Amino acid sequence: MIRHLKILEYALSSLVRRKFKNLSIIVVYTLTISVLASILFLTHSLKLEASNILLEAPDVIVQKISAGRHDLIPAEYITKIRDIPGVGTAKPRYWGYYYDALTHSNYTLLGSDSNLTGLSLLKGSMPSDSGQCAIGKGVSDVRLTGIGREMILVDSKNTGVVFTIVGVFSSESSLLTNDLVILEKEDLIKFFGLKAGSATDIAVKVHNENEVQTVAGKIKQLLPDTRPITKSEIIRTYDTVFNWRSGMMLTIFSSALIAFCILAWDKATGISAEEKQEIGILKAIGWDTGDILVLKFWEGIVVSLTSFLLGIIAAFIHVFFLGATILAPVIKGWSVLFPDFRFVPYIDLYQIFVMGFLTIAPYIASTVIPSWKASVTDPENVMRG
Amino acid sequence: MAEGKLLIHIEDVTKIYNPGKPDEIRALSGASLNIGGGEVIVLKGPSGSGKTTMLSLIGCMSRPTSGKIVVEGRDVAKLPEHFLTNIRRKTFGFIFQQFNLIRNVSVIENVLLPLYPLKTGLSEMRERGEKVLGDLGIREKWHLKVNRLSGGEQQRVAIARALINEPDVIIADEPTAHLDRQLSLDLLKILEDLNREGKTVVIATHDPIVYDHPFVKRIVEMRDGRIQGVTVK
Amino acid sequence: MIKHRFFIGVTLLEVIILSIFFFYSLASVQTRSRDEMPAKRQLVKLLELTDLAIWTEARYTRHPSQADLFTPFQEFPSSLEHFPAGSIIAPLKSAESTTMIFGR
Repeated sequence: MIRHLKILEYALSSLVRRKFKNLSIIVVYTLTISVLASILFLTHSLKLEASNILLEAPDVIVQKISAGRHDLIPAEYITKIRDIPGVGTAKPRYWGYYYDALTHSNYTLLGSDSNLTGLSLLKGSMPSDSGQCAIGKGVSDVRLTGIGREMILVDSKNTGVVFTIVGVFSSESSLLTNDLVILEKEDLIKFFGLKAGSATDIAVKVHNENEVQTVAGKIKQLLPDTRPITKSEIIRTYDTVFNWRSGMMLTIFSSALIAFCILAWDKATGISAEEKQEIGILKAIGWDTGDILVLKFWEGIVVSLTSFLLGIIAAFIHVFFLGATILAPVIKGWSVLFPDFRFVPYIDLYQIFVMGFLTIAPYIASTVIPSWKASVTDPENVMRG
Repeated sequence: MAEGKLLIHIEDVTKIYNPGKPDEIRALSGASLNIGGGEVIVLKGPSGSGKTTMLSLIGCMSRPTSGKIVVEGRDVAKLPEHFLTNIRRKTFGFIFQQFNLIRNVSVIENVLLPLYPLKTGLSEMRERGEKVLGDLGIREKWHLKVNRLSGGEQQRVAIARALINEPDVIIADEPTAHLDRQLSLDLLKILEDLNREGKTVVIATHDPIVYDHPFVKRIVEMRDGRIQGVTVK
Repeated sequence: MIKHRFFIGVTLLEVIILSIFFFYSLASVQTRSRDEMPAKRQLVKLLELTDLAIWTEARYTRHPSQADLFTPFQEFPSSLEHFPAGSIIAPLKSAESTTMIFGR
């Protein structure tokens, strides 16, 4: 123990000697870790949040597919679906997208039944009459408007329609409602000019949860031009949306990995004459190969552990206290309406340990292995300068 | 001077570098030498004569290609590295031609370097370091980086480092090569004092100041890897 | 001769900060899933929502779970991704029972 502490002491002296080099390594290393950890924290949090919230999503959504694309679904499909054993309710959903040329943003327009009440995340009320609407926080922010004001949207006949805003969803719900504009169902059908007797898709409720897959299979059999999407598929989508293999993760991971390899390669091949000389001196004055490896091990630990811990701390503050302000523009992409994230700090210790192992171990290896080669030579070389 | 008991016994030792390769060098052939406790012995010869090789073999820094080296009753040619290191730590203190101090590290840390891998406690290390530096008259410079010291002071740091383990044998390779006449004499004075305390001193040099100095008792002349003759004063 | 104490102290401090963060996150997850989750679920249930409103630039980024299987590839599986968000979300995986499988 005392031997390790003393060698650690000398390792620190040795690191302090090359202050700027080692500080810059720590800074770059910390930055890499904090970017990686930020992405992991953020995606993990979104993933868990999505799978928790979407548990209440409809059991099956049935779309009509025409020529490989989502098409409006005829109303008579609803009765056919209702007749399938095990199906509880089947209701048409009316929704669509709206491009707002004024703010260059896309809204999602959703038609609702007029009798919805008791939504705790809504200030005001849902539209209960024609000419009313409730909007998401993002829409109200981008239009600089609020309850009681009017909003003009251009319908499918290119005429402006005036809606009175009767409700605004609170910011706590913006992960779900940020770009929503809720209209009364009939208003929406008229606004989009939907064909009579057709809906956007059908939401199906199944009595027995275990039968959802079977029901979906039956729908597909009965109505071959439809595509049933089950709740588990919806949840699974968000599970894979933020997984390790997804594009950005792969890009950032591989660039971080390449940076690491360059660093390791540089260290492995470029152990300087000065370092070699020092190892020789240490051997000459009574250190053996093991002592030198312990020294290099501690040098590696000091740099990599410090960077790792600092990186994780920075990532935690960045994602959970600052709402991922630095990463947000990257995730945001070209979205005009982007929710203010208030990430729930779900932490996966396993993820952190894996990351620790994958970043600390290679660094230590790349510090110890090259010195090992230099330290097994006879110390007499040092006498020949 | 009465010689103590036999400390190092070298018998028919040959050292070949890179054997079997085009750059093979025969640095030492068939050398035999006995060194007793408390002796002062100088290896004298031009460069390339095998002095440094001889020193590194005596100091257990390398193993001979053939022959026998017995230090404190053990044949070091056959010992594994760990034991060699152990013997080196306990028995030898080295003073090198280029000082071989670690740049940008403080004087005291340089002096204490040999103790870091040992079990000695930090406070005891500190005490010993201060004592050695005090003996050599550079105690007040303990916190400075070694590269800010003068050549003579650096030499003293190197000596302090060689002494920190309280070794029986001091091995010095061309210790006066980078020193002027006055500093060389100071160094010899220090070595003389150490010898008076009972330490064995082995010096490799071609500097007349060293081998003409009265405290040197035996001069071994080397040429082309062989021992040419031994002069006892 | 106190550098190692400094290092150990700093490392301990970092570990303590991380542990505080960890316990903070445990507590925060608990309170937020107690306070906010039921209301959010109610929203999903009553409005029959299927997706998170994160990316609004395209159908398949606004409703990844509802997008048809061709859109994310712009009709061509190896076409370059147009929207940055598309590089974050993986293409939809369909369950076997809801996909047409051709018999042999």
